[in-house]
Amino acid sequence: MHDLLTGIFFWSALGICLMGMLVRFIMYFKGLSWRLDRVAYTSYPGAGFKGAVRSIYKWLIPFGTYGWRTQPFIAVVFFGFHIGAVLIPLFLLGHNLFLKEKLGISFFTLNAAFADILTWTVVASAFFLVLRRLVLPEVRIMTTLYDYFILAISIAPFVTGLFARYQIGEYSFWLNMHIFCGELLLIAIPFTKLSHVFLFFASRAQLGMDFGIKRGGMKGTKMAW
Amino acid sequence: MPEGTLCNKTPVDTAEGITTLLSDTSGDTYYQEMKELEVDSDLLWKTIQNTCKSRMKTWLEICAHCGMCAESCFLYLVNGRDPKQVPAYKIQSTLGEIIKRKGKVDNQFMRDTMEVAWAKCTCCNRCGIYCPHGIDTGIMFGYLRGLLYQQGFVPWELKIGAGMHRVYRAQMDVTDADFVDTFEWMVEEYEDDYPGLTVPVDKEGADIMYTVNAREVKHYPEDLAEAAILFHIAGENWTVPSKGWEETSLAMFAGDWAACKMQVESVYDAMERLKPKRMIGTECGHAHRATVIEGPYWAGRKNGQPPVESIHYVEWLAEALNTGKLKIDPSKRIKEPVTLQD
Repeated sequence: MHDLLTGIFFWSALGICLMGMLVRFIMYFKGLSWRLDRVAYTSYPGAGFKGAVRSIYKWLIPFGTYGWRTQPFIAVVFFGFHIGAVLIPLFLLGHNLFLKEKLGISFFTLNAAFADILTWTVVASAFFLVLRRLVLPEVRIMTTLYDYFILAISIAPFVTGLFARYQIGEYSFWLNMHIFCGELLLIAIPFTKLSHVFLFFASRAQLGMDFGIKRGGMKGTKMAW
Repeated sequence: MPEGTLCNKTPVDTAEGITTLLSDTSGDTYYQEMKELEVDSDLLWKTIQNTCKSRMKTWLEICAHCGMCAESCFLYLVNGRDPKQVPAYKIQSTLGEIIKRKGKVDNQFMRDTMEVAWAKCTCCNRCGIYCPHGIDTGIMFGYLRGLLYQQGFVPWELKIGAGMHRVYRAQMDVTDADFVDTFEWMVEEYEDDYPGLTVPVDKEGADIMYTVNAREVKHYPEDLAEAAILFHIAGENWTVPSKGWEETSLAMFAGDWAACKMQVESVYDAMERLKPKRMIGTECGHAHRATVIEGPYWAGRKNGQPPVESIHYVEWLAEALNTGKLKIDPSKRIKEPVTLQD
């Protein structure tokens, strides 16, 4: 089982994820239309690019935009979840050892204690994400089973990862579960709402271009759209 | 079921048609007929397939149902934080549903959707600014209004308004002759106070071409005189076109894109005829949005710009004050703190 999971399953999941992301990312930009969207994308590439970059990086900074500042609770929960959710898969020591073995490449690795803190923050934040879906009326009205399903797929690798890391129960079982959940997550990315992993950048770039070109950007406004 | 005489999928484009619709007080008969109006699901789905692409499709798909848009929506806030007013909910339960069902929706659904699209959203775009994904529900409601208009599910007042632009190229039944006559009459009224005050009509190559809101001609004609006075005092070389003088677009509110195109083209034609250095629009935000920001795209102009640099009246006024063309008596300056509502 372990060999399957770290062999053909791994390659398939990674391949599907990367190919899927690339294809959808390209299709997104191909599907933009100056006429239908009413944005002169190609006439003002400089203003568009500046607007896009500004829009993306401002939202990536905690409290970088009015949207984050006016809603501090969700901002904290959001970043608590996403910072760990992005950094851990990429920069955990265990993952880098695996990558080195499989692909011959590895990234820099996180300090172990820091990685623990990040992971627990992810789990705690996920708990609050579920809580707000149950408790806040403005979120509850839109929440469907699908939203819980997405949360479940996202958090499963972290929970199973923690079981393995603390060696609770049978290590090899939890390690395999962890790898399986991780691969499930990778495959889900291009096909579900998890596509926001890369479509966030596409969608923000689009709105950044829209505001940068059409809605005030070319008049020198520095507002973070 | 045959379409109604007042409520149907055909836009109003004759003066008689407008008068008939107007005479139906409050649209009572119109809305009665709307209860029987059929939904052309094939047309609806075909239109969506042709016009709903990457941007909107992705917006509807990646909405994380996080509810961050709620606090940004003034309608949500003033309606006691009613969850049904959350922007994402409003659009997912209308446009989102139509797309999920591939256009197979019924008359009741379309009437309910009409209520949401026109009474529960002003397309202010605030939600787009507060959404982490940049999902602009205001834009989607504008799009939805277009779909509804095409099917005939449009508020009575706006069917009339769009009809006005189709017939008069103005939001009200004001003819080109009415416009020029009224402007000239108002200027005459103030000639004594401001010697040399005129309104140059159809002057070519002027620095400024001024366009207005038909409402001013019909109900607030002194606004026309006041604009003339300020241009006169500032020493501007200005003109008004005798055709293509109206900048607003109730057609935009109505989702009548064909009429929007016709309307802005009348103004662009005037720009091309008179070749001013700039067009200054009257103090009307929607007019500016329609003619200067969205208009070029309706008219198929790829660079998104009107034929001539165009600004809003307030921008001209700021420039005139900053450059000293207009001076304010310091003793008359307001001393209290002032806030600008945008």
